Amino acid sequence: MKKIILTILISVLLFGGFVSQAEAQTVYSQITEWGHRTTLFVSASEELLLQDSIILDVFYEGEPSIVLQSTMGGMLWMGLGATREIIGTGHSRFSWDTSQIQMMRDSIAQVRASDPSVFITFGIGFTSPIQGTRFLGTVEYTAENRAIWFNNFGHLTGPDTLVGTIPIPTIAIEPPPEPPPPVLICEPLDIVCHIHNWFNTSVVNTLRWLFVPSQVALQQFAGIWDTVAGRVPLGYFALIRENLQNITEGTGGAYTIPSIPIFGTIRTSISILLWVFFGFWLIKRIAGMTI
Amino acid sequence: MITTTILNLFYSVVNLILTPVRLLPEATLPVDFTDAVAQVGQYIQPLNVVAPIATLGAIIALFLTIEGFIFLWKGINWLLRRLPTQS
Repeated sequence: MKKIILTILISVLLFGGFVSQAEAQTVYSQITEWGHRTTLFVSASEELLLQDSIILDVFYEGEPSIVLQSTMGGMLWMGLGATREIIGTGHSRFSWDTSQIQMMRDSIAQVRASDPSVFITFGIGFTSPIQGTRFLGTVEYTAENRAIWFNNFGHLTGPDTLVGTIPIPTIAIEPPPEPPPPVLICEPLDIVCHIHNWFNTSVVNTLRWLFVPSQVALQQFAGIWDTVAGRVPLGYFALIRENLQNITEGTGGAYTIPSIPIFGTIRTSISILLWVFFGFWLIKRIAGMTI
Repeated sequence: MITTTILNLFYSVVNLILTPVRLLPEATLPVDFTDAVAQVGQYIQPLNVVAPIATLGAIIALFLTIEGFIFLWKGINWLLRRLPTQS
């Protein structure tokens, strides 16, 4: 019995140390592979007044090839920053020219924002590995209010190898690994200190390895919805909803009705009446429903 | 490792379920439709001064949602009644 207990104890001890080292290597490799995103940021020296539309092209060609893996639920996005209120519609197009995979997707976004520091983004999610040496991204944004001030634009998030002539800051998106538990320097006969060190290096690391999920495993769910949201038939609902919102939120019209003060009262009265009628209809509908 | 494995398994299952959806084409509305909606919007928008268009839209959306839900409910019940052991 003692032999079995001793064997288990030694196994836990060795296993704990081994696991701790293996996990450290795994985390390190994940960080080197995924832990950084490159931000390409182009800033204008002065505010640019946009009268109609803006087209931004970001282009990369050359070696080394860009590789984006899928396990992170990756999102590649480009954006436009504005310093004033913006109303408009934007498109983004991304393409990878590679012998293995070619992909292109258009997405449309309408932005209405009064936050002066708003940053509108157009993104593409991917779930399969993308590799290539030629990348082209385009953002096209058309203003509805015909007056947009951009003080910066051209925000492209990609892998480390996407390097241009513009200084590129690197932002870590993977949180740094937790520091290893402190290891005390023990006197040879200090049993308590040795137990403390053993507990920290073996048991804690084992428990952490067993139960703390990796950030990669957590983040892979981030882009899963985007992959299906734009597909048939779900995509139709979103597109129709966007289009119908334009009716109620759009600006400008084919003709104008002069604004008379009493119109406001009439409008509010009609609105109240509509909600009351809807309430009556709802009560009647539910009361008369046969299950 | 255990939590990570469970998360990866769950992700794999979700991915597997969504695979047929990914094979479907991207949804794009016909240009005629978007043009028609935009044109309708141009004619309706000025009425917003006197008629609560947003309220009307919200009520119509709620009406369609409720009716759609009831229709779905009845459809499921009808299907269940087709089962041999159900009356």
